[in-house]
Amino acid sequence: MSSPDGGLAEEVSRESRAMASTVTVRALAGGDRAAVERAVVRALAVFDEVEASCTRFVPTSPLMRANAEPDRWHEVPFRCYCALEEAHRAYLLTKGRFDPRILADLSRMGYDRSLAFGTGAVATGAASPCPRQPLPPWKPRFEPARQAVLLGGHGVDLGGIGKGLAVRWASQRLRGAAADHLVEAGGDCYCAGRSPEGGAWRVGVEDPFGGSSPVAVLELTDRACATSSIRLRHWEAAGRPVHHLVDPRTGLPGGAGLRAVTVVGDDPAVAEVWSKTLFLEGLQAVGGFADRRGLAALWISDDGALGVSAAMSGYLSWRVA
Amino acid sequence: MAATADLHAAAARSERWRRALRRHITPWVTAAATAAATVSAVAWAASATPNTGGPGATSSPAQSAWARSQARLLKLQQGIDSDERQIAKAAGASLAPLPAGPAVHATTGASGVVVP
Repeated sequence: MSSPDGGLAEEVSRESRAMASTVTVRALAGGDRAAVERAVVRALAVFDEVEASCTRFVPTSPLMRANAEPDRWHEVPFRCYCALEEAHRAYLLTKGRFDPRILADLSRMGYDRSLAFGTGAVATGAASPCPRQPLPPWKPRFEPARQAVLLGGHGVDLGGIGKGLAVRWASQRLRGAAADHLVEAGGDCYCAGRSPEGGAWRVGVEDPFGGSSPVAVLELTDRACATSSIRLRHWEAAGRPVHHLVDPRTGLPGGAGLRAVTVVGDDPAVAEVWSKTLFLEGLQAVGGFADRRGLAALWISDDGALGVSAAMSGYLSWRVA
Repeated sequence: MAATADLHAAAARSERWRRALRRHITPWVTAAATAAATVSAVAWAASATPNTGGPGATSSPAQSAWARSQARLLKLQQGIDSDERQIAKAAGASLAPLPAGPAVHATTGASGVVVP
């Protein structure tokens, strides 16, 4: 919020690295600055908690221990348990279009470890990807009393939804101390209250072709946004270009004709789920799919054209010509 | 809202102009630098004693030739730098002041994802 004299509000801002992303928390300090600073530190710690329990790049992480034996019960930490429950809710919400059981598909394409995205062309020695049979319905089982899960047949990847959940939980930790704040992590963000200038938070939508200027600017108050983009996480498997947004129906990279999809919503994890789901629909279907469900979505096609759903227009303050 | 849109359109035009200018300048500077390096190398080769010139040489004539060629190279480079600044200055003067682009508090996209 603006200060009484019309200047910028005092702000506490911290940045860290977690979940292969830069994490930024900005909170406006209305009164008790020390309390806001403590809340910001606690909010950042959420990302470390989620990463420690949900990473798929550490074989001994709680998630990977459960993935190693998906047909046995596993007691997992609170964050991991919640993330698995949320992933299953997202699976039901999207009627299976969002399905985290793509872990084996990613591994088959060579993305079974951190790859040096952003440092140039990345190639893996993986075999050429080919379609697989559709997966059976996902029916994991949960025992909340002892935070135990039985994944049911297949390992899961919580990468995308995990980051959205971390943004949600970090924002919850900030609310008591700072009503006005912004949490941003690797493309997912939540904008609470007002910006330091007193208006809505302005979020730039990155140019998925690598240009330095955003292709659109969104104005958000008490809203989340998430983007699924293939700008960074793409590589070659057996000489064939692939990316990390895998269609659970085929086990292959999806989203024909699209470079990126951004979704605005109430919750960062749900926005993340819909952005991925819309991306996988591909260019031909993305607009109709978003409008039928009233989703605020913006997408950029392979030829650079920008499209928006009807519900997104209320958030759009600027877009490229 | 319309004024803001005009401002952003102007910013985009200005950015395109700058990119075009950079594309124009870069080959010219590269060519000039190559020419300068060639002149310098030829001068050094002509005056240096074989196998004793260059940095660390012990013979005095060779050292002098090396120093002279380096001085010429430096002068040429300074000239190129000066010309580049002049061009940039002229270009800046002929452009409308660059308005602030769409200032944002955060970015959504694949940005921020850094693999150690």
